[in-house]
Amino acid sequence: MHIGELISAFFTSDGPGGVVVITVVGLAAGIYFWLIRWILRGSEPEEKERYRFK
Amino acid sequence: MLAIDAKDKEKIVMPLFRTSRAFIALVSALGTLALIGVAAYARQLYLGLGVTNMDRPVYWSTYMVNFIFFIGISHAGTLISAILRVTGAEWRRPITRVAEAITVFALMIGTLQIIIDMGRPDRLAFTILNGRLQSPIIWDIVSVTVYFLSSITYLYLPLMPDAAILRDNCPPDAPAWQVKMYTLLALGWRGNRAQWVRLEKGIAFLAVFIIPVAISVHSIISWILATTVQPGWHSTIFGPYFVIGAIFSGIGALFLAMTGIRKALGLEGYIGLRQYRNLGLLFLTMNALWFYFTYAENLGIAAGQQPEEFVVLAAKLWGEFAPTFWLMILMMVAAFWILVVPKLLPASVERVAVFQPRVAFASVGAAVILFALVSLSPRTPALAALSTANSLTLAWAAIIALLIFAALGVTFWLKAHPVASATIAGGIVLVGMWLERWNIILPTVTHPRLIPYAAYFPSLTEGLVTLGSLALFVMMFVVFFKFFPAVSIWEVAEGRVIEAAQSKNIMPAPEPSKTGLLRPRKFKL
Amino acid sequence: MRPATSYHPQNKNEAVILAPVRRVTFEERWLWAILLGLMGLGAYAYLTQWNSGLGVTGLNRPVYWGIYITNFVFFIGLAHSGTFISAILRLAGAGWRKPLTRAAEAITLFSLPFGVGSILIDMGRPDRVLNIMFYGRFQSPLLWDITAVSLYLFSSIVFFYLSLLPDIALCRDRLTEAPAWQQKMYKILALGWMGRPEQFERLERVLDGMAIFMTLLVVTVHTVVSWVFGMTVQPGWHTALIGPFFLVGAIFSGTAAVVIVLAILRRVYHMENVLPVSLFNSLRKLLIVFTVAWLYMMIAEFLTASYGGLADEMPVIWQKFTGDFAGLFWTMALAVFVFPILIFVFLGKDHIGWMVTACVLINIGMWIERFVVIVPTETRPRLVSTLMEGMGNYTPSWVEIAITVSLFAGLTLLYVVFTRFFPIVPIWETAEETAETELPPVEPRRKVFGTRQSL
Repeated sequence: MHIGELISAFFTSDGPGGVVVITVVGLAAGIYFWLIRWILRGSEPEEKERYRFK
Repeated sequence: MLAIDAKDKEKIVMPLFRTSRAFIALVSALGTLALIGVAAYARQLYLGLGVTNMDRPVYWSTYMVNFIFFIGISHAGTLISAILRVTGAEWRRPITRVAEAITVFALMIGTLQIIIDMGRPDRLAFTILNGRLQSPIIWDIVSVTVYFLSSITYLYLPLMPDAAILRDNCPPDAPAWQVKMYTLLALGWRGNRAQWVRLEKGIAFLAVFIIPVAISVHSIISWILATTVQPGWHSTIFGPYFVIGAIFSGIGALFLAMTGIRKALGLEGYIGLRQYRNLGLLFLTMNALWFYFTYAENLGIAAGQQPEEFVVLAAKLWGEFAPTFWLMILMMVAAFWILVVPKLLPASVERVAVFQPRVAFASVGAAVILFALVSLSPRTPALAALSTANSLTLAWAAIIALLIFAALGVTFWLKAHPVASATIAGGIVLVGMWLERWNIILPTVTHPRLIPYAAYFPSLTEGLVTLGSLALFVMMFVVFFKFFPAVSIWEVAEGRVIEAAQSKNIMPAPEPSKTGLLRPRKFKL
Repeated sequence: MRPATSYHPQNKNEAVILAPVRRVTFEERWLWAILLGLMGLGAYAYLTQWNSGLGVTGLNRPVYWGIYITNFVFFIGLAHSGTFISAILRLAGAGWRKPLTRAAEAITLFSLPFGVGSILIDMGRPDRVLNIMFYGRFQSPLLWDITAVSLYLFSSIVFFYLSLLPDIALCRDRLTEAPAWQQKMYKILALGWMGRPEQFERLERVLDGMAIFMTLLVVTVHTVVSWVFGMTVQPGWHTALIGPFFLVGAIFSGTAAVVIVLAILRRVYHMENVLPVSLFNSLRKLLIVFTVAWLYMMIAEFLTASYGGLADEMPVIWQKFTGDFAGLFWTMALAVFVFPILIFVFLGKDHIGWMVTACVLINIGMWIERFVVIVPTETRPRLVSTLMEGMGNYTPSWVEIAITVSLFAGLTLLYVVFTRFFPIVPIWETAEETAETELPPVEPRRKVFGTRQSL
């Protein structure tokens, strides 16, 4: 099956798994870095739409 | 003489003494469907189970799916009334009676399905006369019976003060038999302090008791399947999986019932957005957990690649059960989307083209056309070009993209209609969970351990009986709320008193410490 | 250069909470020394293993995963306590969790490295862990494991740091008598936090968002860890329930660990005001639910497996019920379920001593439980006929035991040193709320910072 070929190719490949680890952790690092900077900036006027945690 | 608020009296008590034409029409329609189901069952009883399509090895099919489905829905009552009461969630008060009623009637209809499934119903007596203690079916009978009795009690106890209120607040032209019924059910309730204290204790005890009973009910039902060695059934995850699924479908049923009652009786002042919002959060949690359990189970089978197990999974993923399996997944994803995405999108993007409803319609239309082409392509020479692997992949990707566009297009309509979106999500989940039960039972019975293959398609009898059972369930529900208040009058009144008191509440200071504060000394390392 | 004065929410318990940071006792130095000594013993044991190879342990074929992997699963499980208390209870709106969050998250932060370290210790050639990076196949549960645990470690550090940030600024401003290097450390770590209302608003929002993310991460991480076992076809491991099984067990043992740590902190640092008995009562209720939930998981697992009676599964089950591991298994059942539920229900209310007893039993029992999940399956693997005479046993050696002890010592040492540098109770979160009563769950919370007067 055509989709099945794609899936089986994904699952029978041999690496490099490090791509997954680096991508995930790297993405997280970037997001966290930006978030900390955003928190510390804290003096810009608030956006109109607020995501309120309910 | 128990007095109630005039608004409560107008909204909750008065409708019980007025019979509208719509009510009669609804009950007649439902009654007709139920009678058709009864007729189909009578025919099955007379001619034998051969009129269904059940055969060896497919000895459990539609009726068993219905059984698990209805018992699953019954968990609505336990969740809302009992767990929310134990955790002190005040917002549950307006919906407890609807939830408890769903529980009782779903249990009745669910147990009925088993009896319908039997060619010789009189053999039910064997379970009592000759039942072996180590049989999961015996545990099932015990736990469902206990749960049923507990649920009826749990429905009746909060109903008692309400029956007393009705007894004392009937309009002068109320029929005598109705007043007599309320008087009987009130059991002489006087509403003095001693009685209230005992009632609260009783309800609190029952709430704590009924939670493990409910969990055991659906776990034991799942263990009827899991303690066999059939591939696809013999999985340790079934216990929690079924309980989560039951609570999930219960919340879906509750959404539908809540909205129906609210609309029909004009109870917007009682069942408000707060109930929908909080139930929606629970719904999303259960949805996520359901996906987690489904994924955990199927991933294990896929990775294990054991020959008999994998055949069952393959039948679901790309075999003859692929349509029902992927439809179920689509329903659950849609239900999740409906309740989450409208909350996440800010109002400012409403002008963007993709969020217009006409885009949604166009996308759905295009997706349907593409889907039709893809389904027809292997059989039609003209569309042969479409059936190559590459173009099929592209077509499926396009269909998924179009569906996402369609979903985005309706987002703002959903955002503007929270009640409707919750109800739609609830309905979708009910269909999805019925399909889920189907996908658990049927692939295994058609691909059992020792038989290469079997085929099954439900017969007319089973379809009519299923329809009749659903109609009977809704009919019992509707008739019940014709005679009993849809909202628990005293619980809602109690909630108002508590809210008023809490608004004047001041946070108490923490306990004083017995030791004095340490004097901070010079810093030394 | 420091701009105008920064703002810190008023907390009347501030002096009590900062007291441990201001002064380290002499006895405490002895504790550090002992713990360092234990870690040194562990290092010596590991050096022995490095030099002589994994033969100095009790590992063999087919028992190739033993105490080290037990430690791995146990420490990762312990780590989930912090996230549970901080993130999940935050989402549920349970205000009583506030004094505990940092203490619990510190358990997370400091046990994760030892969990991950256990894997490296388990390897005869630790450099081969790079093979996962270079040649790791996407379908490998080990790869998912490394990804998930790395992400979890990193995110826990960030989540911890963010909720610590206002208190680092507090230390920077209040602890003027600290040595210069310590003050410099606070100044750098505080990242110029000024306590402006907008900063607090944003911090709260990010913490809310991260709480959701961390909850999902907790579920993912411990499930993925369990799938290292679950995705094999070994009897006893290849069960679909293993994901939720490990997850419930982790949150259970983690919450019990939090109770132990809190009781010690309360006693040693005289924090009776800050950590009142009501906290322990709330935790007691949670623990009752978890104990029963854990029993449910065990019943679900063993009822289904034993009723199936499959020829491959039954030897493993008999090993646990009546075989070589029966002593451990039934000890575990007593320690994790029987005694704790009796203690919680009858003795635990308002009595911290009994709570701690039950929680110590729970943690010991859960460590045994991890052992009993991992090793019996290996002693009766699927191809049991290939087991030769004398195979299928496992006796841990002194190296493994020494290293295990040193891991616990290391966790304790890191924790204790941390409490001497940063306040272990979040001062900014437990500050007096000016216009708020204890709201019921799932109501929107209103935080009013930036004013010193009541509204």
